[in-house]
Amino acid sequence: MVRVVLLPEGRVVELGRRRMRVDELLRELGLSVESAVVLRGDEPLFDWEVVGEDEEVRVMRAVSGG
Amino acid sequence: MARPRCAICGAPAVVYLRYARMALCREHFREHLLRRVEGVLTRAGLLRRGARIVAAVSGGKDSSTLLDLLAELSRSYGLQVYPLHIDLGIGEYSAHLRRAVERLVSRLGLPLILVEVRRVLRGDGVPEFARRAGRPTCSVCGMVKRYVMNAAAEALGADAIATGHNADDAIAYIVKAFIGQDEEQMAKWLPYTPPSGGAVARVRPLYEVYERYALLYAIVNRIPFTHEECPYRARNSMEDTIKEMFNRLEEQHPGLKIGFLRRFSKKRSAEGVPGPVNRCRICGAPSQGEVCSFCRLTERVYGEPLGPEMRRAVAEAVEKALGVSSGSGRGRASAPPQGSS
Repeated sequence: MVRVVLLPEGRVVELGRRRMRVDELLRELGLSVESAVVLRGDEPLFDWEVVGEDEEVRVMRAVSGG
Repeated sequence: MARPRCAICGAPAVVYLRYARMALCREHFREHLLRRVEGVLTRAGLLRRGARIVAAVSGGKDSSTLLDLLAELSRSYGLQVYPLHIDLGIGEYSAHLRRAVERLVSRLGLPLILVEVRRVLRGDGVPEFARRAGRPTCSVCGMVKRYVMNAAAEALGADAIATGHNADDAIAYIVKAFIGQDEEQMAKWLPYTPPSGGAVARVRPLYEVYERYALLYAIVNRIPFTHEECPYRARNSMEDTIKEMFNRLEEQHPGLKIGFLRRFSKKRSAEGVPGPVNRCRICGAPSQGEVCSFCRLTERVYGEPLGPEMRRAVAEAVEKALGVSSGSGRGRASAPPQGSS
């Protein structure tokens, strides 16, 4: 299970798969890799990096604001 | 696959630019964005010692990234950069934005021109003003911001107002205007809009910076910004849908967005854009008609036109920030101290 915190709204989504690449994770959320940044802690991840089982990441959508 | 190395210096990379097929470290990512901003300012004739630029900073990722980059260019080229923040009085949202801007300018060592609309609008924030006027909040907000930005730029004798609009914003507005076949709106979305009839020039230095990279830049450089959404922001707007559509195209065809904007701006010029032709007879601001929208709407809502009062408040904010008398005319204010590195 990968736990995803969607920003800015703070909604939490749990994805059933054990491990997945960042670009796959974004696709599961219906987002393009060009429209969001995935963070592990404060560190942005590259598209090809793998998010592991029981890990929590934050997804910051670039399309947001005032 | 391991984390990549910077294509220029071999240091650990923080970003992979798909359109350039290149990974960059934090320093060279900064250099890359600085060159983009320099390009826009050069073509606008603004990359010169003493050029006066008002940087409109909301506290969001784009304008905060923009201010950080402009502050760097002010040190390299001798630009005079004046950060302007407008506190729109939208509850906690505005409070968070303001705190982020205050932290950023303090870090950059720049004086902040802070304009609080509540002080002029009889205690109202923009949402209350819009409600009383019976107008959409976003439309009133845009009108207030344009009025204050121009008043501040006039008080400073600035050469241009820089806004944080990025490549994705420009594409969204251009395509939306194209769908409506609104040529006038389309022509406004160029990197530079020259001064016209008293309206100070506009420059969009992030015109060739993708929204995602403005966000990444703010994150990797730990720039104070707020990622909250305005409570009045429309959900699933046409602009958002256009952005997502272009991001999917960009994913398949890296560089498509920059190519689109470059071809668009090459084929067009802002000369045909009709600007304001008059000065408001009440407050003296640039206006399409005899009385400007701000004076007209405030008179309807509060029983008196508040343009002159707002212009005084802006002039006072300039004085307070710079510690000088801005007077009432153009070009009175002196240069701000330009930051620490």
